[in-house]
Amino acid sequence: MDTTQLLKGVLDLAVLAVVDEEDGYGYDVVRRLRAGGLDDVGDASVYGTLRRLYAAGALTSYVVASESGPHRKYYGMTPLGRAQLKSQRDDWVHFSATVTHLLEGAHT
Amino acid sequence: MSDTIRISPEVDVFVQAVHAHFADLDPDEREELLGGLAADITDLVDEHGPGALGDPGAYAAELRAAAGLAVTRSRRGHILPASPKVDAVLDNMRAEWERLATALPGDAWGFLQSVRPFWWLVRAWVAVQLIDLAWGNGGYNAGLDVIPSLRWLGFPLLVAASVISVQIGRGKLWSAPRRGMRRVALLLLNLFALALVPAVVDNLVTTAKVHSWYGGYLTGSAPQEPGLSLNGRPVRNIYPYDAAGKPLVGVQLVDESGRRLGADSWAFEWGSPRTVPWMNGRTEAWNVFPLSEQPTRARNGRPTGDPSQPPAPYAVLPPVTLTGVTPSDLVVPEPVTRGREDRSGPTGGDRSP
Repeated sequence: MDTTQLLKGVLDLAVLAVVDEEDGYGYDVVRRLRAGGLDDVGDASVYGTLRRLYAAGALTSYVVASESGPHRKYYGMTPLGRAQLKSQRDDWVHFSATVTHLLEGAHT
Repeated sequence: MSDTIRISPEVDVFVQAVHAHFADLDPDEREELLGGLAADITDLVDEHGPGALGDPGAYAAELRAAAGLAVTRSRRGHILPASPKVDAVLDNMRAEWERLATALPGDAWGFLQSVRPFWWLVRAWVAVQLIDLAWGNGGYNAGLDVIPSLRWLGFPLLVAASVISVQIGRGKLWSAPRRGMRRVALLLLNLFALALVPAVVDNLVTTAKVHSWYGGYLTGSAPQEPGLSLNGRPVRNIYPYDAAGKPLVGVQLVDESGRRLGADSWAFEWGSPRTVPWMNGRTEAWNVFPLSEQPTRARNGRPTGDPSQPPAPYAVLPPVTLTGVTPSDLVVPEPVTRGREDRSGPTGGDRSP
């Protein structure tokens, strides 16, 4: 099964969860998502998601200056982001339980 | 992971190419979306090598989709920034410029950024002044007013141009969609305006200039052609009188430097008398007075009749004296001499005592 489609639905949640652990810049978030098992996640998708969540007020952002290279843009959680994470996490638990239940029912 | 990263050329090219796909966004939006991208791509390349860089177009499309932006598509179905190459070049130039500018000491770039609105007003002003220069006062070499005249249109035009210029500066006009050629045009117009600021300022009417012109007006009204003048008006003839107040004929005049007072010839209007000089052998002597005069025809200016000595304006003048100075002792010329030197008119002269 193509997990990309599945991933699209939960990328916001996954990104929020990773940033909630610790502030991070784009590629750092990508790396942590992959380390967490989401191997197929696309860099650009993560960057786009970070920007969208920022624009929606779920994330805050700050630039860490660099003297000899490009500045890094770090993202951190806002209260709105935490609330969104909690709500989406609950939804996900409920949803996945439901789907799991369905699947187990279909299997038996 | 180090925070100090250098951008490798392949990363730079890739990032610029991605930037070009966001040409429809205004600069702030673009910075919000793409700020930090170079650092992220640098990390990617550090970890997986340049081969990890795929197609910038596909990358941009994925980024746009994930960020919730509309994907712009051309009729051919490609994701299309209007002029990707031009935009990429301009973005490159801008990035390079900002890199150089931010390196200036004393936050000079920050200062310049703060005075940008001033430049928006200046370029509007230059634009209206150019119109004035082409079709208004400036066109008649009359100089430019600080508020362009252009009859009553100058001020409203200036206000309109200022509003347009500021809106362009704020990215509210012209920039969206930010197509490559429009950016080039804007850049060229800015440079053009910048280059013309000195010319416009130079053409402004200042108090000093008005004074200088007025002075020029006064001196300019004096005849520039050789000859004698009094208070700016040409003197056609001179009538000398001696100390006793009697008219003299045939007086040679020179100035303190020995220059002969008089002109080589006298301009005359058709119908007015023309002057005829005395002669020194075959040489005309225009510094000997009174000059003879000869009437001319109003129709063609040709002399008519013989030259003759014009009557002096006064038969006599009051006698004059100066302490310690003895006036010249004059000899009245013989009538026979006048007959012999008919062409030159009557002779006369002073003889030093």
